[in-house]
Amino acid sequence: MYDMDLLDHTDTVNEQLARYGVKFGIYKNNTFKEQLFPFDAVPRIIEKEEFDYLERGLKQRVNALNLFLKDIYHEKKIIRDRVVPEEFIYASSGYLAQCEGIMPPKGVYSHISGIDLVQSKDKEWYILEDNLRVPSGASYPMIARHFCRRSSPKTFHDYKIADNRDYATLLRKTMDDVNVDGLIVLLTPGRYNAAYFEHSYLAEKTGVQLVNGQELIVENDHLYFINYDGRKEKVGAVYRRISDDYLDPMNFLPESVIGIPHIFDVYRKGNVALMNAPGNGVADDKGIYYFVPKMIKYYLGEEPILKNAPTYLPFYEDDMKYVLKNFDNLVLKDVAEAGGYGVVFGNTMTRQQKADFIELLKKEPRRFIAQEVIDFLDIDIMEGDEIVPRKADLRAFVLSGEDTVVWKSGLTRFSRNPHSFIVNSSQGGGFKDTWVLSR
Amino acid sequence: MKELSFYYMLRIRFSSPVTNHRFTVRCVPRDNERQKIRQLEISVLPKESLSNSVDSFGNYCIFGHCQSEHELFEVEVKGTAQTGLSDSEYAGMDYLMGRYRYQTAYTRPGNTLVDFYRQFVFAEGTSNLEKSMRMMEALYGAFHYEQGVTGIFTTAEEAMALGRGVCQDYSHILISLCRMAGIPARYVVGMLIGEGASHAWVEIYDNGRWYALDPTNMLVVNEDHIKISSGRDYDDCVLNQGIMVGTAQQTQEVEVLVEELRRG
Repeated sequence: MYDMDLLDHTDTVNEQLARYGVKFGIYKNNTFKEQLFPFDAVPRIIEKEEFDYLERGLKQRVNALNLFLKDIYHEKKIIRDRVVPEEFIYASSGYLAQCEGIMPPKGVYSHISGIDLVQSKDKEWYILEDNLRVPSGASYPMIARHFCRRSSPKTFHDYKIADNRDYATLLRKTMDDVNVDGLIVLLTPGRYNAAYFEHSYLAEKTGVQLVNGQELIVENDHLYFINYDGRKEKVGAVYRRISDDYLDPMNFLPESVIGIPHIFDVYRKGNVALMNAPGNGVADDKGIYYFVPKMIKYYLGEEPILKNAPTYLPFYEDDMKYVLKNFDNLVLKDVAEAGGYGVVFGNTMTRQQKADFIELLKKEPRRFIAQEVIDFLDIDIMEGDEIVPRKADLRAFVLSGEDTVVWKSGLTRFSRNPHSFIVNSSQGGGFKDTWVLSR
Repeated sequence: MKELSFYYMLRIRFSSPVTNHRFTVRCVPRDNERQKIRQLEISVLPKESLSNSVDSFGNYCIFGHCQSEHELFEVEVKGTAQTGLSDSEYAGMDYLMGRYRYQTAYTRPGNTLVDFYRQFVFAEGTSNLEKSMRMMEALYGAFHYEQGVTGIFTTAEEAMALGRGVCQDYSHILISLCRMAGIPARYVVGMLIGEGASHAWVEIYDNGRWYALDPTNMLVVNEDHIKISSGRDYDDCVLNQGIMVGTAQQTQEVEVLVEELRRG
């Protein structure tokens, strides 16, 4: 495999990516730094049959999550039937009481879902987490594929690879499906956002207007985009890349200067689609993750196709006992944290740290989940001229408008540190293209 | 049953003109099982772009935008209310009450409230209403009404530690205690005969219905109260929110007048 022509062009591809500003912003110690997001040309290859299986499982999962969100903000049958304890809903910071009773256009909550998976050494796939708020990352494999094809056309002739350049078309279709008769815009917090490259790239590729909060205004019951010449145009869908908290200073954090006052009020009236819907955080909470397989059975009456990593909730007495007994073999995660923060491995703690942690765990059992450490299947990356094994995950993108579709590609992130399991780009990892073979 | 006339006025003066002013006001009482509102008149100045909606807590909101320069913002609401039509309001099934069962930033207890709560031992079968009334009585005995010692950002725990405060503090403390007892409870803003400003009280959930308690006056809410809004705590019921552009100082005046027209 490694006589692949593409690998001779890694530098060319990385130069192109740098020239096009494919960067990732990182905040560390309160300063903002933009870094190149290092690209490794060795592709992750997924066979057709294997991806068909992933596709079925991902659609099923995202459909159940969308039904869960609709249920939580309306009828709450899953609470009534005691499938999910209400503590996990109302004590979650992702639950927004302001969203109670609001039906988003077409009833879709999670339009763009980023589902993170890992593969274990025995080739089994596990869901690591669901990202239903503002998952980022699709633009990186999109643009990398573009440069790879250009640098090595031969490679793409030799291998039968599903074309992934349709992401923009799929995304635009999703936007069109929920659009409430108006302009479609992509709302960015601005160029100091970690994913600004992605915002501008996706806006360009989907042909929608890239806007900031100052360019949108609510008048009476509608949202308008103000053109450079002062003309107003009614907006029907907002692919917003700012978090719920900052979306609307009149309804959420009053100090937000990047949001649009009253946008939530016109959303409540059904006059604009917000993608993704506010309040989705209640479904991608690490505590709720435990319940997703139960949700699939509850809402769809089906057996879950994809597995969760074996997870324990110290909230349940039996699970707490197990966690205390097997502490050294587990990874513990703070449900409120994301981006690889708040993750600790039982076997790396000192005795004192362990004692402190267990005390905290007993005091706030709902705050943590514990998982078996999955024996990751390492994948190959090029380190100089050498091929070395590294930990990696896969973020699959699932789009839901009138239908739910899975993009035949995904973002493969890897840890550059041979001893680290944490692959998040906010922690300095790199990325690869993900090839889904077309036969 | 009583018939009351009510008048609510909010006036904000800016020391110099402001522009691009966006506002949401929640100061309009609505019909419910306890009260019927008649002859409602609402005026908002300046009126440029105005709309209204009902938020997720069932509160009537007027929201709008005033682009041009102005030095005065004024909202007036008046009408009559038939009150005391029922002793409670429909709430729904217990499993739907979760959002009112968990503590919020305003009501989350600290050591003082946890200690205070320890005195309550309820016999099996005690209703939520009885429990809440006992806690209200204990609170009334332990807490003293005093204006100017707490502010709108004071939490239940802070107020309890201080031992003094106003209706907002009484209400947050009672809500905190109820939620510690597992009783869904919500914060209510409204108007009361004889009060020149808005008033706050508490509704507690008992067997599918909301019952209203006024801990500041240690009484079960009666026909002297007109409800405007409710929510998990003060934040959900803010009477007036605004964002504007300008460097002005603002002074706010609120006038409330509730008078009895007739006793039925």
